[in-house]
Amino acid sequence: MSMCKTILPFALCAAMAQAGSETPPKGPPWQRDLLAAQKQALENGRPIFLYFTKTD
Amino acid sequence: MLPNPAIQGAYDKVTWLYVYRDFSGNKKDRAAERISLRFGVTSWPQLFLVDPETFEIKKHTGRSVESFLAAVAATRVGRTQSLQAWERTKAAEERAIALERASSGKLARKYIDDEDIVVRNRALSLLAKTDRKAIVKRANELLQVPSDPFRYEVCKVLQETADPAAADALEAIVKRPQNSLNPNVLRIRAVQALSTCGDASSIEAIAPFAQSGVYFNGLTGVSVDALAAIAERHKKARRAVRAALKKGYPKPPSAGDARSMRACVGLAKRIHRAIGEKRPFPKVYDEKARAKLMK
Repeated sequence: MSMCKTILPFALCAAMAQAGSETPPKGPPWQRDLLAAQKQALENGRPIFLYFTKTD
Repeated sequence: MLPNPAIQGAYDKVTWLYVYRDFSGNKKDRAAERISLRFGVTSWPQLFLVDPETFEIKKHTGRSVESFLAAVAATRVGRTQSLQAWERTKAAEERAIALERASSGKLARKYIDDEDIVVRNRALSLLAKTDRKAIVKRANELLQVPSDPFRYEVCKVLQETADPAAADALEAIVKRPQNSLNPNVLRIRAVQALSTCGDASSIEAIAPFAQSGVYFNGLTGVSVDALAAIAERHKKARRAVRAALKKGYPKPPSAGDARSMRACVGLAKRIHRAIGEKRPFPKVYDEKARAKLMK
């Protein structure tokens, strides 16, 4: 459990390491289009997770 | 690097939307800007979960895996058979894109009170180019719209047009920037507008920020400049502005912090100029020099 706690913060930092890039971090099934994301979220009863970033 | 076991379990718990802005103004960037406008995003990065039906922000996730997973676990949204919300967004996107392509104020006047915040933002931007009077006339009401980018634009128009009728609403924003994701920047924009719209009665709202001594916050210097501009335009305000600014000389940082010292002296000199102080600025800015200047 404690090892998990140690590893997890590093893991998301790695996931977010490409912030400032046009290419989203690898792994999650990212959408780039709001309408497509909204339709999928409504159909599946899920929230939308938005990750806003910009050019460095 | 991902795929990462730590958050893989959340891949199918949310819909993932990546919004990247390069500020090029091209088609992709305008689409990303519309999403940013919808959620009032004006600083980066921002990570949050929203209800897909209402677009209400349910939780800011933070940037650690632990806070992210906790936010995902705590966020529930209802399943719906209806795509009405999606159809509303689609229609709003079409109106917003039409406004991006328009060059006259006619469409902007039609949509400035639209139900959709992105459409309102696009209408406002077009009015700012084509019919600033239409914004100035309704400034007090438009400053209440709970969208940071929208209010930034209204403030910019007011700064350029110097309409004193908007001063009360601007002062209210400076005192309490409600419904803002970025209250410091909203305050900066309102203070900049007051530098041309305000008068002696605006001093009370601006002075606490000019006197904060926080030399790494842009709001401090902007507030100093705004008070100086008000004093320049309103003779009756001069004595009160001078008294307010004298209290703003910042406390020198501890020895050895060169970066803070440069910023501190920069702010002190800015206040010195704003006051129109006849005494030369001291060669060494320390507690003793500060105390003398504040007298």
